[in-house]
Amino acid sequence: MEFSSLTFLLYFIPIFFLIYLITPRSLKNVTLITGSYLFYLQGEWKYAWLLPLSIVINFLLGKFLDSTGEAMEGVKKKRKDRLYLLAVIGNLAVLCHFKLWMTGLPLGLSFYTFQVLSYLVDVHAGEIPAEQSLIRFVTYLGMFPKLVSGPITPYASLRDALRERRIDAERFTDGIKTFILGLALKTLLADRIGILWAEVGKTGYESVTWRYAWLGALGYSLMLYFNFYGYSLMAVGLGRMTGFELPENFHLPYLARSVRDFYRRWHITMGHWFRKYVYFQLGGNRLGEGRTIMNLLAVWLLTGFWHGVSANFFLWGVFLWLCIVLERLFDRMRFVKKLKVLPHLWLWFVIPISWMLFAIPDIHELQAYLLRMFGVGDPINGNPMDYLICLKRHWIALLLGMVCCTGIVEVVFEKWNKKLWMSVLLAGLFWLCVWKILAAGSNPFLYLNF
Amino acid sequence: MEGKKEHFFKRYEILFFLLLFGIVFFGVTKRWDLYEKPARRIVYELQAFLGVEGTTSGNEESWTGKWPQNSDAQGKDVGEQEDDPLNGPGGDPEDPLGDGTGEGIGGDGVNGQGAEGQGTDGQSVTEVLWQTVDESYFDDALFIGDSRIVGLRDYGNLQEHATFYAYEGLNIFRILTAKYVEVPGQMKKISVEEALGQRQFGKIYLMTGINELDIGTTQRFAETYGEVISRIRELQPNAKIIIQSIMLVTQKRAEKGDFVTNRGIMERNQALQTLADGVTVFYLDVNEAVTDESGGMNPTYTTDGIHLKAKYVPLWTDFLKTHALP
Repeated sequence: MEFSSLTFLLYFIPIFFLIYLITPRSLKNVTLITGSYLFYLQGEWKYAWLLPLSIVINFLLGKFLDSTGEAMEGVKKKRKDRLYLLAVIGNLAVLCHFKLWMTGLPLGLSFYTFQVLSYLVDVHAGEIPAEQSLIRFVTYLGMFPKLVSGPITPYASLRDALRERRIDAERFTDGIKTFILGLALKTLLADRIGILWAEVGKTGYESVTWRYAWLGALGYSLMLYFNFYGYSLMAVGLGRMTGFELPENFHLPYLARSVRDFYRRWHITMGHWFRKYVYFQLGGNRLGEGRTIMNLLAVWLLTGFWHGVSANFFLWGVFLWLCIVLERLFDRMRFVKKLKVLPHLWLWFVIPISWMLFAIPDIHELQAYLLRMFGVGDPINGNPMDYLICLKRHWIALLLGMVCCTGIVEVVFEKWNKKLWMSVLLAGLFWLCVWKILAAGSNPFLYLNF
Repeated sequence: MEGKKEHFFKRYEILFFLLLFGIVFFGVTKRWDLYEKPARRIVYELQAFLGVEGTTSGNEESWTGKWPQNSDAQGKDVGEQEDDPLNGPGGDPEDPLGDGTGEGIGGDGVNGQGAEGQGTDGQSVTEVLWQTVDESYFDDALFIGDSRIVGLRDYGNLQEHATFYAYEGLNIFRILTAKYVEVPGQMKKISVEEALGQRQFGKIYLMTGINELDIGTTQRFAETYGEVISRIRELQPNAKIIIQSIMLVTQKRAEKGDFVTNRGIMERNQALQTLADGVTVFYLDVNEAVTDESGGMNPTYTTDGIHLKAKYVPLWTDFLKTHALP
């Protein structure tokens, strides 16, 4: 069940929160788990047993690996280390099994695995004590706001809230508002801009002019951002409504000045995960430039792999790695630091290219698209005016999308959050979104009537 | 007291407005069924569970194991819907065309050319001896239709010859009245009805039908199509009207599980054939150009299963060029 589905918006949210809010405090976790599992069942039927089983096993493993409080003797430590290795490999094996050999991943498994791994690593390192309550542990991993697509939240940041949390009117209504903002970005912006990208596909990549190809890449870049950012905001909003503070996943990525900067602002929680559990484990940047570059390569190959096992994600990872290596070279030149505009242009040049590697799984199609972007050869039965047709149809959506990349929405939202008109606006937006989803669901061809 | 009340409202104002606008929303869209249906289902299942004899019979037909997901399009009503969805083509022995067509045939707009039309009275499908022509044939041609026609406009290489009134999501119920025809040098758009009053065409090609597959019955679709043709005939007494068959989708797309099915398209195409008289109104089956042995659109011609890729739109143009009216 997606957050932006009618089932979720019209049935799940009202019913769940009604029950959740009247549940006594000591049982709130139970209600949350029950609701989350029903939520999960709507999207995943076949492997609905996998997550509960895995959670219970990892709970026991965590308890066993707990190394706080007691001094370790040699034999015991060795046994724990061996078990720890087994636990990590086991979790990774499940993920790899589905990624490599099965078609279709159980819902949320990628995000789940990363959180479980972070938990096991931290417990083993003695950074955090193991969770002693199975209910709380299940709540941490299974809560529906972040179950399907993150944010990847470290256990430590939710630990207190799992025990004791206050849900007051202010937090709850603030959660609703954040949720609606995310819903609006997803439904009104991402889905609308997505039409542009769908049209490029309809036309066929081999037939677009280079201008149209770049418009398509721009459209996709915006769509992906508002899709994922919108989703993450919805998750944060739902988190707040249930009494948790989930981490921010995006911070105005398209205002970044380098690819490195971009990925400190894009899917932040995943970046943190890779930094802490891969990059630093490999030695980070402390072992010399050559080793640093290899460590970065490992991180980006794994990031690509995590997104999917196909050649285009591999290319995507390698491309970003190359960009980052290049940036490290640029950094040695003094004058680069003084540049104001050029870094932005560089980012806006390479990121759309990288998104095309991300978006097009078929290598031949991908090649055709990249050739079109760089104007190599002629489009097959192309229309030289295609970019104008596209702009005429989508300029408002594109412009609105680009404006929303500047952070102005967030500023307005924060500043006037408590105003009456903001509530009126957001409530109106909510029903506008419902109306849009309703119209698109019953007849996908009518999407342009808006 | 007053202050405290305000405070309470202030705290929950977002909830208050959500509820208020929700009532307005359902009032305006008349989609109470979104809540009514699941509620009825719960009542029904409760009754079944408790073994009570159900008083609300007839509701059991669509209760699947899942929650009602999109509630589909059942609540959407374009005019009155017929109760008999199977009353398909040929079910109507009378000519579904209105009076306007009769007048059109009687008029002198036919120029004698197509007058030796093979169609006898009452027999609707007619053989036409198609000719092969070059692009200039389309100089006085107008294409009206949905997103497929948009594709033809943008990639059919006929831009310099033919005129196009097309827009995505168009359906037969709005084809004449929706304002989507651009007027050169003006910002505002006009309806096809208005546009046809301003300029005369020799041939008018139509193609619509996929967007409205979930609206009304086949019979109602064909009737409306007939009414549209009559109205065009009134406005364009000298034009020949060519009904292009609704283009089929790929088998894969047809099996996706929504309202877009090749069966539905073929049923409506059959109904459309009965509208042709072989004199001023013709039926042209363009599916010959784009389908393969699967029975649907050739999957290599399309990305989404519905629209021809730019590369393959010329197949359609070529088909039109070899299927010109004598």
